[in-house]
Amino acid sequence: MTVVQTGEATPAMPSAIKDAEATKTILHTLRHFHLGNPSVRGQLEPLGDDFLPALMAPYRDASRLRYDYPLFLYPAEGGDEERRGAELAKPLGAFLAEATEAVAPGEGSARILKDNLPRLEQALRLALQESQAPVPAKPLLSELSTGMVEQLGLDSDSTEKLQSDLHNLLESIPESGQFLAYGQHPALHLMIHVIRSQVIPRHAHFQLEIEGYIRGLKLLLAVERGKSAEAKAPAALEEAVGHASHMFDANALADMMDHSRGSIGMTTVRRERVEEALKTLEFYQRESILVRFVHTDGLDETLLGDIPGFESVVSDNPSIRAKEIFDEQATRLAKVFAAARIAKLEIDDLYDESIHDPWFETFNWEAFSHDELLLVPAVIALETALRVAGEAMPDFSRLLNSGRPVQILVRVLGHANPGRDSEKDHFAHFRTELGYLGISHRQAFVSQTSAARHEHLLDQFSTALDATRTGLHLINVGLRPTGQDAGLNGWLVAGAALEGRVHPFFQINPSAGDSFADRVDFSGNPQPEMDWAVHEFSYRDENGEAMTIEQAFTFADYALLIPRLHGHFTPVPLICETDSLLPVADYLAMPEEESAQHIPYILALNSKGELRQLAVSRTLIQACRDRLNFWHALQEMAGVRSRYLEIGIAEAREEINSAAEARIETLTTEQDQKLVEARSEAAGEVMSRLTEVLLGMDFTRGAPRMPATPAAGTAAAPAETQAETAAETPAAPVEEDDDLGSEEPWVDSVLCTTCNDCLAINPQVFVYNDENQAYIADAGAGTYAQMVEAAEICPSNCIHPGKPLNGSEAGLDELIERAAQHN
Amino acid sequence: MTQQADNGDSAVQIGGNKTAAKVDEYIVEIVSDSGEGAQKCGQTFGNISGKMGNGVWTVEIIPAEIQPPARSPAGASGIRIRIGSKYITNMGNEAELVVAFNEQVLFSRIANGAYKEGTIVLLENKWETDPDEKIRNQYTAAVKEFAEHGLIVHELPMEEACLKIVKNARKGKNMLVLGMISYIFSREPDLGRKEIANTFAHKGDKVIQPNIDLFDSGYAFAAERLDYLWEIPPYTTDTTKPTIITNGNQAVGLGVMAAGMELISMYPITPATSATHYVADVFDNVGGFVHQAEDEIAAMGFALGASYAGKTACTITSGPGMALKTELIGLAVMAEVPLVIVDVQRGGPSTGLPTKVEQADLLSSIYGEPGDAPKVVIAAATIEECFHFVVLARKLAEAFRTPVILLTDANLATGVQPYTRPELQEEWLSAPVDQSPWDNAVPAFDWDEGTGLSQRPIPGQRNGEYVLTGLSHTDRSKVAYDSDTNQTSMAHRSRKLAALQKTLKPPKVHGDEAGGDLLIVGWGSTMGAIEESVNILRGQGKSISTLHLRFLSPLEPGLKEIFSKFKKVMTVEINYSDDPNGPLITEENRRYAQLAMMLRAQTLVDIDCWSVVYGHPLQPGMLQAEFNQRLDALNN
Amino acid sequence: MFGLKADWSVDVFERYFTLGNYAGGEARWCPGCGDFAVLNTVHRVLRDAQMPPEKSVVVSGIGCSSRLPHYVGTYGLHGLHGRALPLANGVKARRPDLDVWVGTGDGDCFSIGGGHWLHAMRYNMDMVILIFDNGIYGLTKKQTSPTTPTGERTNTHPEGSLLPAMNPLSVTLGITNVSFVAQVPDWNPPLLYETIKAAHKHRGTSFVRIMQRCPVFSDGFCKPYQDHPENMLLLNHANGIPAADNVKKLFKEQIEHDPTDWVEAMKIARDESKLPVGLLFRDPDAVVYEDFSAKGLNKTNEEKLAAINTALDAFAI
Repeated sequence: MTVVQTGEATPAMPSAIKDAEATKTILHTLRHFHLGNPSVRGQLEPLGDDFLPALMAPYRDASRLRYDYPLFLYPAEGGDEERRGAELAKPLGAFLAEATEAVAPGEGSARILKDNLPRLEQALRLALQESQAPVPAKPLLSELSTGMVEQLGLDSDSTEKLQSDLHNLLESIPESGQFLAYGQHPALHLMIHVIRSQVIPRHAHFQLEIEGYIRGLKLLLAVERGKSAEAKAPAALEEAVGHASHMFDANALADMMDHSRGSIGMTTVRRERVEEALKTLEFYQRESILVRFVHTDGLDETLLGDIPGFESVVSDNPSIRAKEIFDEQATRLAKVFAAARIAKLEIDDLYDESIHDPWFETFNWEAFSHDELLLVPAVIALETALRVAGEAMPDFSRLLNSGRPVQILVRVLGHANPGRDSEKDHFAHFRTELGYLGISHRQAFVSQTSAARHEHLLDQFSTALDATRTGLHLINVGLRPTGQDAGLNGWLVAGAALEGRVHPFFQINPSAGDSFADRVDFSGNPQPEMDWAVHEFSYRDENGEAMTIEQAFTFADYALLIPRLHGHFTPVPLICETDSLLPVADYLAMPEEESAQHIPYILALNSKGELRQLAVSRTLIQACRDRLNFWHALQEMAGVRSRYLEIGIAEAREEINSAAEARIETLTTEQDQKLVEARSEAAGEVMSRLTEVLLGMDFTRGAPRMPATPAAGTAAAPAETQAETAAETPAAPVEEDDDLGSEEPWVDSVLCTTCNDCLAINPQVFVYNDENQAYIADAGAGTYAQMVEAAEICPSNCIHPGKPLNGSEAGLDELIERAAQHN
Repeated sequence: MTQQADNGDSAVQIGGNKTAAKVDEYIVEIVSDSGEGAQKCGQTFGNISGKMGNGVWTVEIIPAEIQPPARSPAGASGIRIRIGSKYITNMGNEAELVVAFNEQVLFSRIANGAYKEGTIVLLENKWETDPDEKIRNQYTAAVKEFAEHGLIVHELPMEEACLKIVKNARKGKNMLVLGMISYIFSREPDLGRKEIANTFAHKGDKVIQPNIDLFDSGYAFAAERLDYLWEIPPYTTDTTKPTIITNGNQAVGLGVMAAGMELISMYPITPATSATHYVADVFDNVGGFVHQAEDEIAAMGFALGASYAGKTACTITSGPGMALKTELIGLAVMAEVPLVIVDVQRGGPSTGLPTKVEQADLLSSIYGEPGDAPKVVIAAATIEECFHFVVLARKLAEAFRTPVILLTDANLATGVQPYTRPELQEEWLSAPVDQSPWDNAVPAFDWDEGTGLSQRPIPGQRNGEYVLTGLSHTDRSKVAYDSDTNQTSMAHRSRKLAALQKTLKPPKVHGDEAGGDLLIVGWGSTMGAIEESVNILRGQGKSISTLHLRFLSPLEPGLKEIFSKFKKVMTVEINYSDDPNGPLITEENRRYAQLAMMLRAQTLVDIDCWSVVYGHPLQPGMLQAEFNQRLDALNN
Repeated sequence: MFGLKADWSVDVFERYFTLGNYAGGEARWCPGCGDFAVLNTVHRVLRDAQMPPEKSVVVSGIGCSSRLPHYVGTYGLHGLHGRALPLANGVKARRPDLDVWVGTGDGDCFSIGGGHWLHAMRYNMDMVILIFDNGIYGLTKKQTSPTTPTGERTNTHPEGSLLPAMNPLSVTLGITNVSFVAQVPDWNPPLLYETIKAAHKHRGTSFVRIMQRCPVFSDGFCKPYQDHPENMLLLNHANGIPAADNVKKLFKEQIEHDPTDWVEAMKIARDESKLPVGLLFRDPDAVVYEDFSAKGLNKTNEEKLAAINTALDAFAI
């Protein structure tokens, strides 16, 4: 996270004289507090409302934070649909810096502007503080920059320079670019932004595609008209010869023209189909509404802003309404897509009535291609955690299983438990994890993320849309804790929720594969392999010693950010001196029976910079355990830390040693087995092996085609060839090869140049394979004489007559002699 | 007699008529060294006159070389504009007024008999005071000589007038002169300014304004110094019809587009190239493409390839190009590939007279290929037909699956004439390439027994696969050398011409349908001159008629019968034929003009001919004289 | 849903072509002629590309090689002597969708068609030019061709041809905008296949000079390389013509040659002591002429008529 630490004095433990006696009673009280005994309340030091978890103390002053928001949103119009993450939105600071660098590259240029960018940034943050919906970037920026120029009050030259640089900067900023502040619905607006950025260019492409089809279909029909009787009628011909028609006898001309045969005309059915498709495509209007957003109201203009091609639909049951809306859109578009597909098929002349008629009869959204689904105007349903965990669960569940590419947004609070009985405390039950609920719908896309990590969020959304499945998005917004002056902003609280395993990130994408290993994306979580994220923390102890410890950020630390949970904490008096207090993380890591003797605490810092231990209630510890359990479940799903694996590995180690020898044994036996097989197969494989051997040799020389042997013993370089042979086919011992090879007649088919000469001699013996290259189909079907003649005539010398099959054939001796140089 | 204009400021009116005299036609020439823009001046004047409802014909006077030496008779470059209160179809006889930028260029025109006694000459007079004595002497000598020829010479300080507005008079004088003649012939000055704006539109106001200033000062110059004022009332046939004014090559170019042809494949050659120049400017807008090939043969091959692939293409050339294309034209005939070949005829043989008119490619177009290569050959008689016949040619090429040669010539190519604006028809455009499957029961050459016609499969049509070949082939386009195949396939290809001829009506006789003494038969660009002279003679009560052929292969039907109604039939052509009275020439060895030769063979009528190859268009005057003789000979 | 999403309906439909679909009339070349090898390779490349037969056009001029179209079952254009290339260019000009092949020979292409050859390479339209180079005029019975080796006795030069043989590789490489130059012997079917396949894949004019055996009239033309492979030089490169090891083994002389290196390619081509085999040069980015000539194919009649009317307006009175 791009947070710049706003420098603070190192936190320090207030010094105090320890009192062993007092410690006893204090521990007693703390234990009772821990166990939740209300009677001890009076004896506790009140918890000031200015405590922050030690690790978060530096960010106390929100106004000095430079965090990702406001974001600059790149225009959704134009661009291509592949844009993701940083191409869709950029943090304000980075955006300004890059934009300036782009128009004025290098140290030297636009110095004044660059030096004062932070000022501009500050002004923007201030201006956008209260804004909810995206704000047009250019006007605001130009307004503020004029303000800045005045504010700076530089000399005329510098002012001029600054103004011109600012001008260039403004010019370089894309027209419909926007700023999005971290309001109440940043996630919703980012979702809309992602959709628009993808859908707008897609529809532009689709429009072109349709125009292409229209043109193509018109051509088809024009061709038909050309073949029609009307086109050959006297009147038409008179038109066609134009001004010269007075020289013609149109009827005579018509008689002559009436000859054309060959080009096959369309059947009436086909022509009507083509005309129908053409009509549909010509009537199709580019979508006016690209995003429909269904919610239970409470979201007015100020929250939504005015977004082109956007429609806000209020319904008391978003899950149901969203489904309906999608179906309406899909049925409408099904006609268009069908027409487009028919057009394509017709233009390529691939339409087959027997196959396509039934197909298009039942053509609905379920048959849409991936691209077609992406063209259906998007539907977003905004649900509350309480509804989906409560009365709306059945509809919600049905929608999740419906397969319709509808995106469901649910905003969850880190500490809250949507499944609780409304009157009971949040920690009264184990938490209902909506993410888990989502996963149980195996074919739905589920993502848990947070507006505070916009790149993760954008990436999740892009992937979700691309998955074209029902998508569930559990978003933690981390609204600013109310009723407390510690001005931590929502963005930071949401960050803490991620850090404290309160709202871990994960994504289940069924389109990615069948096993969790393929489906789960666990990215974005800090130190995913650990129970809690651990950070270094430096402070000065009672004696002013500089200390640096490893400090875990737990759910308990997060809880301290939520005022209504402050009852679960009490400061440990400074005089208390004991080792029976334990940091929450260590406490949780202990087996329960051991931990029972200790009291868990977290380190916190008040506005005075004092570092204090805060004892933690048992209820909160239970909640920590509950969250930790869910975290472990996720880790296991993500394969980050799997018990199965650990067990497996242990066993494997165990096995390896014992198995090693056994394995060596089996291998050797297998080896022998293989050798035996090799021998038996050798005969069958010999042809293909030979080819290799032979190709490995220089056959264009008069050299022998076979490894030299006493039998076919031609002198030329036998050594060399043998060497090559050996190299070529180690598996096939040499002596087998030549026996077989020199006996059998064969054709080296890959070298055959398809000259037909051997087929001319005897088409029973010589036949073409699928590559139209000759091989010997049946050596017995011809004489040895023919075999030798073929070998001699073959222009690429790839026929090898071998030895005669029929010893009784006449003139064999002479033939064998002639054959020798071809073997 | 010559009248000396004083070059001083005090304007002295010279000339005759102060108030506009109505005349029904007038011939003006502007002659200069080449590069002085006389032609642009004349074309613009023609346009203005056309827009004022006059009949107009302009023809360029083109020097043999691009940059001949200045002030040389051979360098005469310029233009003749004939305007009238009637439809003008040719360049007429002698010019009545000529504006000359220097005296030398006039000599070659005089030698060509372009002027007559009394022709008014408005002559640049700066040469009289030229630093070079030689020039001064030439000038004075010339002026004297012109007077002896009976020309009325007015020496005017045009150069001086120009320099008041532009630095380089050479680049401005033409517009000054445009202003002058616009005044003399009572042209609307505003029309003039508009035309100038159009002409220089692509060069912007920087260029337009000074030219308009030149025009205006020329107008004033003439008004104050000259006393010539004529008015040529508009000729009004049907003013409701929208009209355009183009030269023949532009018409061909427009025709190519109107016919829906998307490819012109050409190689530069005079006088054909300007057609492509025009199209190249606008072809993109109709999705067309000009391919300038590496040579004439390639140009033809490229067009043939494109046509074979489904889009009937067009190649535009002139005689020498035709010669080079011959072998491929033979292939197009043999393989029955539709194709349009425009031959803008020029003087031949060999390089001949590249810029001048001739009608000598008739026989080579019809019979030029080795072996028998029947094809359609048509000839445009007017600039308007240059447009419409391209449309016709494409249609015939596809319907009859054959190359079609369209003959025009340098006279039509460079002549400019207003005519009715064509009303474009979608039917004129070529149909989209047929890619529907082919019935493989039907061979690639499914010759209709009766007509020899067949439909062609186009690459991309499934099951239509065949190999186009120039070898003798069967109906399935399989190479076959056997005698029957060759005999029958030849017969089918030839029959297509007979079939086409059967669809034609007999030609109309201009004059006495019923017959009479003399029938003049012409073809191509000579129609205007022939009809004009015939009309004059008929006006004098002579029994003379004329008939003009458009179809030359096949010939139009009914000719023999028409000829039989006249005592004498003769062709008038612009190609070489022996003078019957020339040395050694006898009835046996006389070489006839090309159409005459064909008609004699085809009709067995003893058809005579009169043809010359002077390199310029026929003049009605010459023809009148010739016809009169023939008529006298007939009648006593 | 349930896997129905995919456009199975279209897949069902794919046409499948076998060698038979590309077979034309029965080839009539002399026994032992190298053309057979090329013919079968063309069939195989078309088959492996599953090119619809009606979409390919095989264009040729005149000569033994130019019989090719008659033996391929696609559309064909058997043109005139030397004119194959203009015809082929014309075919492609307004029909970029067609797959164009040219079969020509040393006489047809380098002699009578020489002028067109230079310009066709420069147009660089997407097509394969197969030059069946046998160093002789075969169809007209043994006259000297531009590539006839010096001193070879022919019917026009009974005392032996006079001039040094033309080097088609260096000439072609020298032409501006050339984009693909390869050479391959017809008697090595595996290499012939890979070469023609690569040529077919390349977008632009692929010039493939095939050393082609003519046992009847120019037996000596290929023999030096058939009998002495060491006279050939195999050009290897990752971006060159892929050759299996067993094919490579046939070549005693081999070098690595990067087909993007024009200068090196020219050196190799000019060194006539060895016959280079493989891909000498390829430039996938060379300008392709049909990118210009096929512009505006989509204009509708309405658009055309409107444009012509505007053209007429310019001449209106």
